[in-house]
Amino acid sequence: MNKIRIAGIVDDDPIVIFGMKLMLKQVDADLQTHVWNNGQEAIEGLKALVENGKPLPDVIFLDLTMPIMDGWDFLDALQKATLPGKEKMRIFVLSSSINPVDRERALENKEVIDFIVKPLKEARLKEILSLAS
Amino acid sequence: MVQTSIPIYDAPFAVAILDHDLNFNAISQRLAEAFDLDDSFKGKSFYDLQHRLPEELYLDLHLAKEGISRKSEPVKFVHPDGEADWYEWKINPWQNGKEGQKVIMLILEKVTYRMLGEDLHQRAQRMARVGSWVVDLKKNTIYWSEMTKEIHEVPMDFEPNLETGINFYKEGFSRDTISELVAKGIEHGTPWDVELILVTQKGREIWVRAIGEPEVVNGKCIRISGTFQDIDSRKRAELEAKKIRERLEIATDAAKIGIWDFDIVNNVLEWDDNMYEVYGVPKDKFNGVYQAWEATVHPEDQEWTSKYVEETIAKRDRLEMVFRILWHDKEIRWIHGEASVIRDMEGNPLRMIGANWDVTAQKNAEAEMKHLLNTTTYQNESLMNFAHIVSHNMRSHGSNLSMLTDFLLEDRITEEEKQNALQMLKRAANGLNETIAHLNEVVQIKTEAEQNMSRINLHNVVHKVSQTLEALFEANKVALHIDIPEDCLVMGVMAYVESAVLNLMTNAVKYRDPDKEARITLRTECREKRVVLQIEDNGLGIDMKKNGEKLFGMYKTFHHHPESRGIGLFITRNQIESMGGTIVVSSQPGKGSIFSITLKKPLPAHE
Repeated sequence: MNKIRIAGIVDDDPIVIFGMKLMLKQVDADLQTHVWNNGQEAIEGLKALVENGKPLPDVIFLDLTMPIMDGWDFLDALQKATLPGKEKMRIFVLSSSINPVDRERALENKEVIDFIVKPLKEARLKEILSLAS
Repeated sequence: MVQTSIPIYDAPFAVAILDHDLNFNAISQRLAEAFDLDDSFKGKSFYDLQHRLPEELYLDLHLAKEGISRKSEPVKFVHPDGEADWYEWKINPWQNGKEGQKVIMLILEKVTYRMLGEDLHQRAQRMARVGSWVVDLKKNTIYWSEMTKEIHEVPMDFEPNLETGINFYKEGFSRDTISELVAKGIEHGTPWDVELILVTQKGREIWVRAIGEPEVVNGKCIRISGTFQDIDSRKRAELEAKKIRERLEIATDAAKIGIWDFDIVNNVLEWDDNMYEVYGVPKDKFNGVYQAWEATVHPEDQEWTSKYVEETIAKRDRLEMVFRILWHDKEIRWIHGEASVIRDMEGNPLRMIGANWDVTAQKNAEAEMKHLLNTTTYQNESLMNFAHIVSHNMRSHGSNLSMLTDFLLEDRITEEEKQNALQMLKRAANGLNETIAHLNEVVQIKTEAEQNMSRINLHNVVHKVSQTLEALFEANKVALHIDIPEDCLVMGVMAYVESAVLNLMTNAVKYRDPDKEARITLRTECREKRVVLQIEDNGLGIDMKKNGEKLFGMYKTFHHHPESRGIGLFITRNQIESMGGTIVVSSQPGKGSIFSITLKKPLPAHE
């Protein structure tokens, strides 16, 4: 598999975004990141990338609870969207929920690689990035 | 030639004179009529009638030729078509003078009618199992008919006497009664007709009807005759029916089930005692017509119940309904009613019979249960929301704090990043603090609402709140319309009503459409027991399909959008519901939203 070059963060919490960006930079300084504040922004952003002939992210960190379009809606919308190469994106749900129901529901989506309870630790992030590469 | 010295023709019975060869010599008119014989009978043979008469008659005629007289019992003759006739005859051989010809005199009577009558009588007696008996007090003998013996289950050669007769009655009431009646009969000639228990020879107990008719001559009873009927099956059925009726009465009394019987044709409504109790109507105040029942029914239930009863009488046979009545003209009670319609052969309704009982207790229990279920569901939902806040919102702040402190402690970050992280840390700490404050607020709603309910003037509340928001309205150029009557009262907690109005008006300003002139309208709508307060805006609106369900939940809460509806609507809903009210929203994206708060009206003051 190719090296992870691009990561997407879908989260509405500025603190999470700040922390994730910082952590990603620490693990891999060359990594390119996209930040979308909710599901709808993410879908539109992904479409824009395809339209402009730019590559899709290799990995996406997806929050569940967001305004406008939440993580669940994003997963649905992604399934319906025509985005060539979308199946190669590895999606990690990153949520503060410790509800097992949420975890099960998230893992029912075959696009979702894993359900990670916030906060994401550096060791786990390294693992994800190396596993995907 | 035959000398007709006897004027046979006019004889008042059917008679024929036959010669030795059984040819007719003379006949009486009665015989001619009985066998349709005309004048040409003379010289004809009696054998011509052989196909219409019993064989025994001809045998007897042959004997007569030998000089033997015969007198018969009634003999049955069955015609080819199955009809039967009975004949009785008397035959005398007779010599006409000393030298005269031997002739045979035959008296032949058709006794069909008499026999049929006797036969029917006997059969009827046998079928009805009626036996007879006679006690001759002069000769001191007693006679029992065959059926009487059969009923007693004694052999036909049984010889009863008065004492054994009485001893067949069951010891105790039956025997005492018959002894007394017989004694009275002998002494005073008093007849009797009683139903008593007999113990047969075989030891079987059966019910009999005993009738005795003493015959008194010169003030002295000489004979008693009577009948004796086996009425066991009828009596037992009757006793069984009585037992069931009594049991039913006990059951309906105990269960307070009222039974009624409505004569549809004559409009006569009969109630049993329980009905009066169930309906709380004094007996003397009920005039026994359909309309009297109708008048007891709760005004709101009168129309549909009457319609249902009419429909049942017209089209159906069974009725089952639960309705309210005004018990003793004031208290509402629930009645369960069931009834059947009885029709004539043509299907015309004749009567309606039914049962009514009070189901108020069940109804109340049911309502209580529903209320409990609603409360439980609601509380469950609240708990879920709580779990959600704790597991999600608190955790999100916690995880942020943890992540940020990790960065700060590791010291791998630049000074600028460190400053940013510290800013973030402050935000996260504030967020956590705020969340805990909100949680506290949510918990308090539950406990405080019920004690603090009072009458609130909605007009005053809305005007007060809009005054505090005046600056906000001016800054955003919002046009405010308030259309609430000055005397509009609701039951509620002042702080909650104020907070709800404030929250919804603030939201309306926040979510205004920047491309339109913002307009907010507040109006009330009075219902019978409730008041609806509507807060309408022409703002951005909400996509109800997507967010309708979540709007009042906590799913969208505690996000770091300064203008999130989040916790505000959740708390508003909780507060309104704790006052026994509801809040709903209708909205269309791009057109605006209408929030409708329904609150209870105060009960009318007691006079």
